[in-house]
Amino acid sequence: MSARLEFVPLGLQPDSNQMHPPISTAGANRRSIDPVDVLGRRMDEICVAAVSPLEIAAALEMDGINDRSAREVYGHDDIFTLAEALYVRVPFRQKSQTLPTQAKPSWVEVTRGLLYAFPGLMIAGFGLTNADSSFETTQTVSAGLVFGAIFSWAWSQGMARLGYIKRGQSAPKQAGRTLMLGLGIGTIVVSILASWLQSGLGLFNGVMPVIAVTQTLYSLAAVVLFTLERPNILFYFAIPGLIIPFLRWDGIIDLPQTLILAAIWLLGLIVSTFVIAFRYGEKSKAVTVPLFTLTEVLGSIPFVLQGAFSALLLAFNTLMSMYGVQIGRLPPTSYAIVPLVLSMGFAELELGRYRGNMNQLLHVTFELDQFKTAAQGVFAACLGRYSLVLTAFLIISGLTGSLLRGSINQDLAFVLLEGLLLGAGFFASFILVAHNRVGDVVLSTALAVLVRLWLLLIPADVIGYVNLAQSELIASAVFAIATLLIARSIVGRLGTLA
Amino acid sequence: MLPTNISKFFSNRAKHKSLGAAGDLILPSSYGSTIDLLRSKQTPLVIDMVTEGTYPQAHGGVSVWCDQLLQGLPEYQFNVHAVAASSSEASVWKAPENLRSVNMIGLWGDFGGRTLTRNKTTLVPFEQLHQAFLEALLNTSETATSDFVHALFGLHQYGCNANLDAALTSRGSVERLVKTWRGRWLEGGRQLAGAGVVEPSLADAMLANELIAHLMRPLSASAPKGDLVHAVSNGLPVLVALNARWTHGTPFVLTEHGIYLRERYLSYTGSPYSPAVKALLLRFYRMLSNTGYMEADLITPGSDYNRRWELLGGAHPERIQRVYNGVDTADFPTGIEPITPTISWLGRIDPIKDVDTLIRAFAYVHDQLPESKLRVFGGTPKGGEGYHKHCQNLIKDLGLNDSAILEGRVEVTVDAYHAGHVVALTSISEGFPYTAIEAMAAGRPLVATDVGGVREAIGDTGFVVPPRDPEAVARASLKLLTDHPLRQKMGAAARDRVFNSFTLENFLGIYRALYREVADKTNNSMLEEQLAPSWSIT
Repeated sequence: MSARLEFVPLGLQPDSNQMHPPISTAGANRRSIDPVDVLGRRMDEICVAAVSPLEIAAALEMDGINDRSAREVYGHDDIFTLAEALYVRVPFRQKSQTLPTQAKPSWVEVTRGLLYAFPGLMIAGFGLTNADSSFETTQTVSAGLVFGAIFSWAWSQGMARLGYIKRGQSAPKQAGRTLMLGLGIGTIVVSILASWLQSGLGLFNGVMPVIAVTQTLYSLAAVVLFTLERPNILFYFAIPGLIIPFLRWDGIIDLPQTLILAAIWLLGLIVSTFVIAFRYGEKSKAVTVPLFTLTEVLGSIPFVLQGAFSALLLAFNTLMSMYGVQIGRLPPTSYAIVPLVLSMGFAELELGRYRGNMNQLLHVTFELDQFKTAAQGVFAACLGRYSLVLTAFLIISGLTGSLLRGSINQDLAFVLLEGLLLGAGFFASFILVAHNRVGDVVLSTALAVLVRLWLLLIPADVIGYVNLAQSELIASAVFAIATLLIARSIVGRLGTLA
Repeated sequence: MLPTNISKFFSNRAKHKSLGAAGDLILPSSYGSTIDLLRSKQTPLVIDMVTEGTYPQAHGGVSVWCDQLLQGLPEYQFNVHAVAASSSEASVWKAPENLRSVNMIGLWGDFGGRTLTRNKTTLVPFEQLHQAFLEALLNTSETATSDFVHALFGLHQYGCNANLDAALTSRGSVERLVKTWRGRWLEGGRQLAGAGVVEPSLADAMLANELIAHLMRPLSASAPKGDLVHAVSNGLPVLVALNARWTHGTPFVLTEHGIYLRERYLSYTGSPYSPAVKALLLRFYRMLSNTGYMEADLITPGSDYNRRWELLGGAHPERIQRVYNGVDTADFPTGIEPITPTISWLGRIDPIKDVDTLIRAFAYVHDQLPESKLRVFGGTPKGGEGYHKHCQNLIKDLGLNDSAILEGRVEVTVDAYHAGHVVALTSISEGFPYTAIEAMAAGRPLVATDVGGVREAIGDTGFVVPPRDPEAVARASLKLLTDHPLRQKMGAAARDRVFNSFTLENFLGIYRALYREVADKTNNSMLEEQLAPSWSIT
């Protein structure tokens, strides 16, 4: 019965069919009235991008053309031969390739180092202006700060790793909760460890645990906010946080009032962090993923070690200064570490640029050797730019410190050079972590710490007298050289950039 | 390039007795023990049904089909292996009693793979196996499919003893792909179909390698241990079937509702991938589909229409046995026609169903028959909200607000058919649609587009029109709405046609018999194999 109701097959009236997209005449012969050419013009969009005749055959069927119309209208045995004819007649045209765009970092990212180091910088600044504070007070406060920083930084690296794993599993809710769990447990663990170590070193008093807990809470909250991509919250909290020490310096508030204000400020930050973490991913689809697994926790241990060694490397001088080894009024570390910390945001910027450039490079290179050479060029350029920024910071730091408190001498020059080497080493570490080579970073930082310890412990008559500044320079050079060499060998290896 | 021991395996294979065609794989004694076979003789057959993106985690025609089969064959036990995006996807179907287990094979997320269980030195080096795989994948000669099967076998063997997923995603694998792909591209350019129409960049190679590694996961998942594997589509389920065959010697049946490869081509048109990546992935799917056609013991398409693509893909004509879908006629009694001339439609509101054409067609009908109605039954799938809105707007724009109604889901399917004098089906792509045979069973004539197996279903009991042609749909609908004797005659003929050819009993009876036949044939062949000297392929 269907044969009685004869309809004109769709393929016979291609140009009159308003249901089809506008005709593009770029591919097939524009003037030809041959039905296949007409069809090619109508299906130009598909034909020019087809990678196989079968792709066109599938599209023909979707367009309502079947073997019958292929025979009756287009003179081909079936849709497959018709598709082959179109594949040959309509040349392939690729749309101009758009390279992946580089993510623009937010201005908050640039202040990353400043935000992370906020408590340390505040207390260091407080000590600098509070000239009447006793050596014992400075020593205890520094100890609380440094031990808190080392342990909390180590813990936070493992915690952040777990948070990123959850985000990678499309489980944002779990990411927020895992991080908050880490913050809670971390604060207890780090405070106990820091207090235990300090009492072992005879640097424990009533203030110390408060400093350690404060430092830990702040550091872990900062890591939570950065991992959940809300660093702006930290930034907004830093502004009122800055006011408290100024009020104290100007004598507007006394010490108990300072502590109460500081406690309120910290509580506000922690509550805000909790709210953000618990609301994180609440609109996303529920996924049944545990907060963490044993394998994931074990996998985060290298990140903990990397954090511990890196923090130890940075804090070594401060630890020495607790025993009175100083250059000028400031602990020697300050001349190198403060600029180093301030430059971390720029290091992150360069890391982002490195990732972006590498991503673009992958899209425009076709040979492995060609890629390796170009990738190493990208790495060198990023390292160079970062080193320039860091050098500028170091020069300003050195000049400021010398003019304010002391004089320029060889040791200060060594300390500044140490800062540059540490900066290069840490930048290379960032690159290695980006390439999933955290184990290499653990090795190079551990090596540098060991060298430093060895230089301190060996008797002077073995290699001659090595002062603190020289030993730091040597250890930093070991760290920088090791990390840069490993990074150079890794950069340009395909498929390693996370 | 293929390791010699694997070549030996396949050359010996050809000497063994075939099930029906030269391409069949008869496994040596080490791949299926006599004890297993004897046990299978004494207990009910266990069928491992393999699905991809359908049963049991989604609704739709294929899932209905799977459910019918499970519910309708209680004498067989079933395990379902569902290839899914993630292994945590949940079932949306109530499990029948004979469903023993559901194994979700996640393509993404954590994949344990197998740890090394024996001395690594006894394995063929992965590098060699992977190189063979890449060369087969990029090979366009006549031996391409058999080379691809050999290569898959090698990788499967590796995956039985080591972590194949990790090996495939390693840096070495990416670099091998870069070198092999680029070498092929320089040789062939566009004419080398599927090997990349533009120069593949390193990013292309990395992405393609990653995607293919994930798609290969079913090959190294736990192998089904039943008596027979039933792959409910070509493509990735075939990897599960091959896994079972190469591990336990299990035969497999391949059913295609739509054409897997055709659907892949359509889904990759306008994909965000570069042409090079698109070409390589489609090449992979093509080789995999051809492998399914070549290696299946029996291919059971849902319509004759599918045969064209299957034969093109290398299926042996003798191994294709078309099995039409069936409906339980008791669920679809005839019903009284509505008072107002009405066209009814049932399906999901989705672009592939071309509701747009249906509404435009109805505008013509309404112009001629102002009292006529269009009732559109069916839900909107996730992501289809935009299309639903488009259809609503179209109804409004055409001034059909009071006549064309999007009714939403219907509780009792047959009510949707009874709601109309005529049932329309305007899809631009179909396999062998249930909508057609259900409407026919309910005594309603169809106006349907000439896609897939629709013409086979309807025969001369309705009107078949070109797709995307509202005027043709309208003319046929008007004819049926206005010519009462013709409509009644066609409706009765449609119902008869279903009772003769598309009943659930028919459908189940065919599968009941062919499961037993394929399993018995293979088991007999394998028992004979036990007499042959055994040998190892390692």
